[in-house]
Amino acid sequence: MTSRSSLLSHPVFILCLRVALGLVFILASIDKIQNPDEFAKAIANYRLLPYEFIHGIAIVLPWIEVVTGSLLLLGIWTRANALLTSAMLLVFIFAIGQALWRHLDISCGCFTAAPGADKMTRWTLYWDIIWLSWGILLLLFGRDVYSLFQILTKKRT
Amino acid sequence: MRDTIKISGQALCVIMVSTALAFAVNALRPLPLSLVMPFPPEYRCSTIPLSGLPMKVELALTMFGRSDVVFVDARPSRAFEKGHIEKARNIPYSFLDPIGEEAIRPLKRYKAVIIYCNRKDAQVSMSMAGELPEEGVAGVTYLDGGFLEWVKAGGKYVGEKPDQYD
Repeated sequence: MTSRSSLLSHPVFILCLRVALGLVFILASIDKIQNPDEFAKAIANYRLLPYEFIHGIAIVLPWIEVVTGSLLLLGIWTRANALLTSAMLLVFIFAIGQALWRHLDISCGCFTAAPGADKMTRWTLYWDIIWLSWGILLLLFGRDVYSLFQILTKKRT
Repeated sequence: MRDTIKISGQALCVIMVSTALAFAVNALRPLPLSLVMPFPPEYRCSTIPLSGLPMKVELALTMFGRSDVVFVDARPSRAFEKGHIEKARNIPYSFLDPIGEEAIRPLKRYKAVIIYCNRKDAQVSMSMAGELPEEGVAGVTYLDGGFLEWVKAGGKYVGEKPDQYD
């Protein structure tokens, strides 16, 4: 149990998770930032939120994704950003889960904003669950090791 | 405890900075996205046409009573119970919910499906008339002028007649 726990909290393993999750969020945000109107349509297709809120979410959410992703990549405030990514993934899992349960034939809007892009499948949900587990591990064991701050400090000394 | 407060504070800071960035970038766009989304149907699923075709009340009156024609009331059940076109079916329509298969199946038997609501702009019936053909229902139109125009034109109804648009 101890060895398992030490493997999960190993700095190199945590670094890999941090970089991978950061990249996932950065990649997921690029198209949505470029096409917020298309992303708004993708959100509307979930038929989950009152339409008054959809534009606000379409404007803000990709920026939260790109900022948290970048900070994770750089190792700045790792646990706070792990908390944010985990919270976002929980919301995504709920949204995708209810859409699958209601048999909505829609695109997930995860990496491509276009509502007519790849259709949502159960694997969309499974991937979000996998990423959520990464986020939780980072929240539990994440430290700002191999971070930008640490690298800069080492160079100075 | 101190750790939790520190993490929450940092997370809040990230959200605030991201939100500020998001609104600033949106404002600088050549065509900024409005903060409040306009009413559907232009933001419906891309696979669904923008709206259905209108049908004039005069033409609908001539089709009334035919066995291959059905009138569908798209308003909420409470409004339907108060008063509706005679022999109309009630299928309450909401932008947020897909139309149930059990409600769609019986409509496939008819050659013409005339949907109505009681809005001046006919947004509800127009959206529903745009969605039903995607589900395999043929001959779908929406009643131009809605329930109020139907009553004014002398169409048969049950219950209370509407005095004005909803």
